[in-house]
Amino acid sequence: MEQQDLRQWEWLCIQEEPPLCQATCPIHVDVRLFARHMAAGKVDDARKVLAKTMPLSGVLGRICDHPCEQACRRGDPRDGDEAIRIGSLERSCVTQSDARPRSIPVPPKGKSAAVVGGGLSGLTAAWDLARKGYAVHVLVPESEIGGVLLAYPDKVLPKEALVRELELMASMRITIETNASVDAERVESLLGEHLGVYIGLDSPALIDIHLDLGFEPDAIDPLTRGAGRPGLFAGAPIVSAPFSPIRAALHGRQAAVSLDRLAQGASLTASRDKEGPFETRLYTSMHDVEHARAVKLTGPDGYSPEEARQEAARCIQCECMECVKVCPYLAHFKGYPKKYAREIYNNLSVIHGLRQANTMIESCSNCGLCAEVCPNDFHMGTLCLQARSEMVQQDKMPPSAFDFALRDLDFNVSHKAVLARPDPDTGACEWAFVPGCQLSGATPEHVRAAYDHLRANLDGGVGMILHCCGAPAAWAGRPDLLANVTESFRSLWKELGEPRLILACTTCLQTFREHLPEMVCTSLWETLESLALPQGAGGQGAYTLHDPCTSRHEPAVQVSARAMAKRLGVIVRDPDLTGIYTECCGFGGLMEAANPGMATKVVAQRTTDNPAPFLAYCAMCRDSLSRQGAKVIHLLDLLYPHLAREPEPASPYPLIRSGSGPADKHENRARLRNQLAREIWKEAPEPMDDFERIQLVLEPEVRDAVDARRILAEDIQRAILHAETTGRRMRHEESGHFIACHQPAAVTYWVEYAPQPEGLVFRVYRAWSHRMVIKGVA
Amino acid sequence: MQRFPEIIARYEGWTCQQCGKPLMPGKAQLTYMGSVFDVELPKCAKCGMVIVPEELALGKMLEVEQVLEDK
Repeated sequence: MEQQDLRQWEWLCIQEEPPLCQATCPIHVDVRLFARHMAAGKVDDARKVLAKTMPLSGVLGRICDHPCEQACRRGDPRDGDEAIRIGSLERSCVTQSDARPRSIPVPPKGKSAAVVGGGLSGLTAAWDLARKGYAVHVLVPESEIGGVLLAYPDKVLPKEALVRELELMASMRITIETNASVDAERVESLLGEHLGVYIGLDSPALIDIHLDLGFEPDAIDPLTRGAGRPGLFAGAPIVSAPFSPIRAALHGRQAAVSLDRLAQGASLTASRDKEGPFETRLYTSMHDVEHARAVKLTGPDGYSPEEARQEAARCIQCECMECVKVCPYLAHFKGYPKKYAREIYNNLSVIHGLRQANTMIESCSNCGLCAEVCPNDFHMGTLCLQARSEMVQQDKMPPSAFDFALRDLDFNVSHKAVLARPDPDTGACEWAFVPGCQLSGATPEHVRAAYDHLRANLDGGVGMILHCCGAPAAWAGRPDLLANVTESFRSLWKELGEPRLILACTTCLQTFREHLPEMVCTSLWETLESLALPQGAGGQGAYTLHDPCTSRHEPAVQVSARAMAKRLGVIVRDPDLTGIYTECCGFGGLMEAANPGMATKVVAQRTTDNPAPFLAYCAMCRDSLSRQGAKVIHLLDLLYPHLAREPEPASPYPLIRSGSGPADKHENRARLRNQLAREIWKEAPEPMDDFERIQLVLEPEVRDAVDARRILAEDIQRAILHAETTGRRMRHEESGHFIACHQPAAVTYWVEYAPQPEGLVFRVYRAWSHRMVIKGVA
Repeated sequence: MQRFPEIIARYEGWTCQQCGKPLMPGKAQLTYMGSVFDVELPKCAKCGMVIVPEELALGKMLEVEQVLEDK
């Protein structure tokens, strides 16, 4: 990932954008943090937040005209109630506390600036310049410092408040000259003595000074505060009433920035678009916010400490987090996409040291719900898939992440599982049914039933293709493998005469739409909708309908699934997140393969947020959702109720679906392929491998453990065959058990077993595996 | 060398069927992602065949594998 890509990803996520109040505040006070401290009763901390940004916070905090309140999210007339009374909270804070952040002494710059005017803008400019290390000479034409501040009634702005701030200024490199005579000549000499001069016009004595100096207040540069000649700056004219203290402070601050840039020889205008109020891109939903009016001001002196606390507690702490709210995976890593993008970028850039984002990159389900709820369509899946592909290219993908899934894929494109045949009666093939690997592995009987039903009801000949669509390769960051798989599928499709495909799986649909767009695809549900129902079809009861995440942008499929459910006599209700907002079952993106714990979390959220039983129309969703015991049926169970097994698989680990005996999905697919070839196309079965003759007996708890460890029946069969043919095995005298091992590729499998009296039958007691390689042991 | 005497003790009574020798604690080497570790495993004194105990494979070894994978 290039840094430029990172910047683009970062830009999409708006979580770090400032809240409306802060962006609207001319000097960008961190109102959100201020309110958080106030709500917690931490008035000193709140005061420090104000003082960090505000010059003379004891003054400005009392008189600020708080434009932030106009912007407050709560005050939005469309869905809000009443803005937080930020101005009153500030006032309450500065009257209760005098705390300041510790000012860090700045080394003197050896340069000086002059400020004319003792009003808030002049004092702000002096304050800011002194904090940057400049010596500041302030000329106040009146005998008293304050300019228009002196006009405030004592009740609003007590004299002591200003005195207190001036005391602080006295400790800085600021000299204040009162009763100063200021005219064009004096300003001219100041320009010669200092790097520049700021004229703060918010002082009655300076109301006409612009005439002397030859500039128009209206013509002052709104960004730099430049007043017509180099080194001269001006702001806060009181002619432009009503007087806004916070604007006066902004003008003084802008001038201080300009003078600082002038001293450094930097551009006066570059990158200053975020000075003053700007539009924030932050989005904050009011969806779950309880409406509450502002706390009333009861006393004449503003909010009491308790009232202030209550009012501050109404602040909703604006943030986006729309994606994190709906995704257990995004919530798990305790951040948000912008942060994750940086972590992923850093992870990919690591040369030495830990790659700390591996688990995050591997665990995303690529379901795309984040992009649906994001105002900018940030798709975490796209980012993670890009990162996975890069990790594979760099040879940095941890071997344990996806190789089980890729071994599964290898099998599903091998001669043991692949089948592509035209209609057995006519040899024609206007249609081809593509059940997909998951349905074939989970309930092969449904594949047969659906195929028979399609053949009986469609004209033009219905063929069949059993072959992986390639999705696991895409998810594992293997575009090379994906291209091989799709190419292999394409050639089978061409051999059959380019039939229209009927797909039982929306993941296949999604994959083909993207990678094999020349194929005409329709879902099984859309096809079945126009056909007669099979005999005996139907059910009853109410179900929560779970749309697969890969149907998100397939509204026609979702509509057909609902129509079929209705036709089949059941009542469906939508879960909290449905249709375009549906949630993943935890299998997508190979989440379950790389991070089973995360998949369990995802399922837990789905099945506890919504009432059981569930109705799924994806075989994988059905198996995944049932992993923690929720009752889930498949739409095909309603279509072919005579084939229904237990409504939920007995195993908590349905990756390898439990059936009678140690059936796994591989075996189901291989059996299905052979059964169809034999019964429908009258072909001889594929010759059996020797290991397939080994029959296993596993108690249910052994099978569950084996499933959870991702050990296939095939791995156990191969280990036993190897031990039985070579004699390389350990024996336990007392129990008569054997231990054998086998290392077909990266993983070494171990099994403890005992031969049974009849034929090639072996009872398995336990099986385990590891990736470390034992040196010198075959 | 890493020793796991409690785990190895559970594999008393196992013999190497090819050699007919009982398994005794012995040195073995495990490698993963370029790292090599010496460990004590139940081992046939004659042919050197070992058992990697289930408790070790799913415990300490898995932890080390994950560390080496930067998980």
